[in-house]
Amino acid sequence: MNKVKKKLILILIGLLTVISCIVVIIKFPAIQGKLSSNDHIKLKIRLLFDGKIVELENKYITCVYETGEVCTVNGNEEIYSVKGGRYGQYKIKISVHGESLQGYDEDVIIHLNYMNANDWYISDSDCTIALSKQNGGLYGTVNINTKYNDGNSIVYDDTQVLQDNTLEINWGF
Amino acid sequence: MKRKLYKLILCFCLMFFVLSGNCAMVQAADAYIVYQNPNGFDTQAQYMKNRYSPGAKVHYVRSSADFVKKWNSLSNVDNLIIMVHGGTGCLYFYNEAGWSNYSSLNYLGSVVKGNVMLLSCQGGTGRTSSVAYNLSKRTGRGVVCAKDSAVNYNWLFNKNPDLDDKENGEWVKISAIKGRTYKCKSLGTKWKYNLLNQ
Repeated sequence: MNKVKKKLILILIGLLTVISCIVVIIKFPAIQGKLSSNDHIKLKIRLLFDGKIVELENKYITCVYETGEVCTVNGNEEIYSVKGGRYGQYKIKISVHGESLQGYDEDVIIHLNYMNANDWYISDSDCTIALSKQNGGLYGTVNINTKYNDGNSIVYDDTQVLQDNTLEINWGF
Repeated sequence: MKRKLYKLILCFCLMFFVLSGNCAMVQAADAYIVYQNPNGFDTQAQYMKNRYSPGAKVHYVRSSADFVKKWNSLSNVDNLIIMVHGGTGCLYFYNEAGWSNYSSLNYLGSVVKGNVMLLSCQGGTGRTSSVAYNLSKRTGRGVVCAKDSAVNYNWLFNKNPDLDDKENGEWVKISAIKGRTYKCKSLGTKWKYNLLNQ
């Protein structure tokens, strides 16, 4: 009887330890972020030109970390991701070819500079970039909704007149 | 005659008491410039203030314009502690590209009595292009900062600043001697508030 009791107590302690570990992992986003081997920066990019969707190609999307280190961009069509996991700025560049912008016909560069404020952040950003021709120039209206693994979220809204066909977006914190 | 002398001495004593009291009241205190939430350092700054600098004034900023405004309005500061996001040679503010327009900052040579602590990531990285060197030029003081490392805050045991990369990074004090010559003094890998006095 004593042996059975001891075994039961040991099993109970083991179970409690496992449950506590799970609670700690769930409760602390920092641990969650550090343990995750998946890509930490996820982006859903929707590009519109005069109201029509422009299809993006993975090969025209690149990413460079602030130190100049090249990062691989995974995904295609609308959903992209980068490994991330380091504090600092990730510079994502989208090259849009003129032939995709019917009626404008000039190449456009979009810089999405994402500032990763915590190395353990897992972020999910929903980006809508709408380009439109107005008064002979090109306007870019940007809306980005970013959700973090700690439950926080931020919204970025901006409208810019493109200079040298370049749209510069700095967001993330 | 004696009475007049006593009165005069009493007057002098009173004047001395009042003046010394006033002097104590305007004694310099630490000042903090802090990037505000979301993704800011509000709780870390409050912890640092309560633990190391009671009586310090905390200035919150979100944009580079806020930062310049707060910097230029500082007066009678002991140590200046800056808790803003940063990278090599620049500071980061809300939805802005890296900021490095140091010439817009007033020279605080007579305002800051102690030293400067820059708790931005990579604050001392990049020698003469580093944020620390440029802030030293704008204050005439040494700037304690992290070199070749990001900075994080120990959330498990306390909220002290800590080096992210202890293998390659270190705490240093960077000075622009006579506003020009770059000097970098190594302070080790363990953060202490007293690094300001080394």
